Amino acid sequence: MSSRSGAEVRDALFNGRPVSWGFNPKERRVILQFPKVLGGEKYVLCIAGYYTFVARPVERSFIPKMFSTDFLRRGACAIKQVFSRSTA
Amino acid sequence: MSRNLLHFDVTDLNVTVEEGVRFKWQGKEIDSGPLTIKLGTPGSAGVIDYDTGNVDVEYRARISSPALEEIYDILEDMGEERGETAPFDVVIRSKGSIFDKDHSLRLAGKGEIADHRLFNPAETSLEILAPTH
Repeated sequence: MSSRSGAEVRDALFNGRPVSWGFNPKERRVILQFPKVLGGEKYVLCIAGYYTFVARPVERSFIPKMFSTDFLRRGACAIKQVFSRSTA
Repeated sequence: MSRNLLHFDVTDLNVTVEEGVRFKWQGKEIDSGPLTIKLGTPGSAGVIDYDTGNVDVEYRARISSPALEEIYDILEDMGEERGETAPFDVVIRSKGSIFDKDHSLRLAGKGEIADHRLFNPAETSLEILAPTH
């Protein structure tokens, strides 16, 4: 639904941003067969609108976990302990 | 070997068939009015494989229209369980490819109709055709 390049769209997806794609409203894309109780007709229809994908969080957490807040906090504690021992 | 996969959720599906359809019910011809296709039950999701350029996606969709809602109401007034008359749910499984240049998708798929009193799955079908370009 935009004029972005393929690389830009892919980057948006990998960074957890929603990306939408639209349908050409003049193109017949749907074949719908109704049951006999509703006449049993088959219709070939144009559809308008869009759908949106968002990468799952696990995909977005591709950044190594070594940079997680918890890891950094534990690292800081360990360094503090080392320094407190060496100065004791 | 690492795979260049992107797992995603479908967070929105907003489709309209403006022209609607004319169908028969109990001897009367009825204009459905605009049909809408939106996300239904949770779980719509898919995966893009950037190594092969393939996309697989499952839309859990709900189809509705003003006339269908009226028929459901009539059936309910006649004593049918609402659960048997609404909603018209369909799982659409689509496959296709990505075009590198603009990341457009060329998807086509078929719908699996959920049990429904009016839309008997054995007699009802939904197919999504691939775009022509």
